[in-house]
Amino acid sequence: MHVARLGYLDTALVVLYLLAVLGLGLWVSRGIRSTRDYFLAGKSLPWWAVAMSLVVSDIGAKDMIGVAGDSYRYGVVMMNFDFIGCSLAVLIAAFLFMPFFWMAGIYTIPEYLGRRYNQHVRTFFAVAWTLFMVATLGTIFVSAAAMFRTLLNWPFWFSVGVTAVIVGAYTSVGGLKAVVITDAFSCAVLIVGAALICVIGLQQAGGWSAMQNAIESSGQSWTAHHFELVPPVDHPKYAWPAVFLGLCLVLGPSYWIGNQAIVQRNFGTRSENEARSAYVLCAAIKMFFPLLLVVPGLIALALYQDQLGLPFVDGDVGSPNPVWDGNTVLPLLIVQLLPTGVLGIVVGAFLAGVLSNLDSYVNSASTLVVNDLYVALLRPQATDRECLALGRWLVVLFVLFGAGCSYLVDRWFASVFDAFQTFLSFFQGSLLALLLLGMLWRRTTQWGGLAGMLFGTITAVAVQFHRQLLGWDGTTSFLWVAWWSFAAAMISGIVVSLLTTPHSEEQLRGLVCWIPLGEAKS
Amino acid sequence: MNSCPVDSLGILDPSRYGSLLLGQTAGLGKWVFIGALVAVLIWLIMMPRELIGQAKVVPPWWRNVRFWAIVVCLLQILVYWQFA
Repeated sequence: MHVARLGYLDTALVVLYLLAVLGLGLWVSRGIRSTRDYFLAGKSLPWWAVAMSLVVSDIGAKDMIGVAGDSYRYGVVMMNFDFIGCSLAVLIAAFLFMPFFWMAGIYTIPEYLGRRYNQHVRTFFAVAWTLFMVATLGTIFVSAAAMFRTLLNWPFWFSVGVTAVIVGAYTSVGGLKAVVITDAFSCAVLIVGAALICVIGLQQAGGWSAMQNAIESSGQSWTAHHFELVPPVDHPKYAWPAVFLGLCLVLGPSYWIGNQAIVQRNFGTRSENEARSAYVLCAAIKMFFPLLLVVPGLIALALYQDQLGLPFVDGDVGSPNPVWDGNTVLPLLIVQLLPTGVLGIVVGAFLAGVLSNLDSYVNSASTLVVNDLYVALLRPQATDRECLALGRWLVVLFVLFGAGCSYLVDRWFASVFDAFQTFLSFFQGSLLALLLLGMLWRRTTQWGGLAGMLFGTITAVAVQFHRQLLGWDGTTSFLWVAWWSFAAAMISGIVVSLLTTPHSEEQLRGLVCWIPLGEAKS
Repeated sequence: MNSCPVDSLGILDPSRYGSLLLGQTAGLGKWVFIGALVAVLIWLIMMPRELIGQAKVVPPWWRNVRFWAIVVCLLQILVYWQFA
């Protein structure tokens, strides 16, 4: 493995970026006196900053590293995660769900589920999201370590430690406001850095057509569908029905409507219209990211396949090569391609992705634990001051947990993106079903919600692990896990709701779309 | 070879599920994706003004969030129309 040497200019740019983020984060941290300031930024966030924060809360280091690796393996199909997997869901969230959540004045999505269904549902999803976020923190640390190993030859745990200290410093002090404002800055740096990789890489490859020719003319069977945005039905991982049902209809909407790290930013905007505007701007910015994230993987495939190796055994797409490491694709590309000066900007962009992703997830995990577990279950009489202190300590604790979790992620998954999506698929199906049923169908009961949650999650686990448990060959894509989990949760939720006593209109006021808060009593 | 018996029904295996339910038509996927986006586009256009806080005053187009949402949706349709 080649190791890059950062020149003085590169180092200066990286240090400048880190100081700017740290300074900005600490500067906007002034005046935080309550949990509302800390977790919702006092509802004072500008919509454009929220939009940029939404982008980098979704797209971070794990995506830069992970999507580059997976686009090397599977091609432009990965663009669907930011095209149909995002834009459609974001627009529905902006116009249907977000204004409703915003008006309800909630801190977290589990809080809504608790009001609509019961405390069990709230606790389950708070715990599930917290565990998911810790696992996600692990994937982000792994991404950072993979990059630093290549760029600076740092050992795994040293990279994880340095990243943890930087992000812990301003996130624990500044809360959501520091997170969003630094994210907005990081978003701009990330776009510039990712664009530089694409431009310089395409120049080296001789342009898009030459790159495509180089990949297609190699005659390898595993690259046969690399330039198909909508792959055929016999694609082993991303068959288009799986992409449509699993990603477009379940994982995308569930992520953009129900992910605490995503929606929490919107709760901090000044008005309902600003919340909506933030989502639409986010959708517009995100339309460029499929190119920025996927093209580097294709460039690496065209230029450095001899160094990066084959991701499949004997070129069979159904047989992943266990020793192939997708996380090395982007670092190697950066080392090979970028000249001094540009390298510093790209490393800065990568750090932007690491920090913005990490700060978003630790802040949201802290919000969930304080709001949905500590206050809701353990100490309802907790003072605001006590919750604020706890929130800050939890940020530190989650950074440490995430760092510990990174070791497991590094050992178990060939790609951090695959790891992230697999974690998501376990409960995203049932979460989306409960949100849709709860908000759009007044007949849904608390028992229907409980049944949907249980059957959806059990189905996800069964579909994910049935082959290993029964000794059958092959693997099942996380897209199918999400889809069948959603279907099971919807069906069980509807059936059990119809069999149980419905809630009164008063109980549902402000919780169902058709019965708003301000409606007069009938 | 110890394959999953459910695969033969096309329930869990992507390669069989697609062919069983939706046929092998080469371009069908493209139109399903575009169809979903068109459905959202129509929903955005038809949405009553009072549901998006524009009951009394409709802002000029450059400040109208519905207009920009429609633009994003149209661009997505164009992407799948042209490149899928």
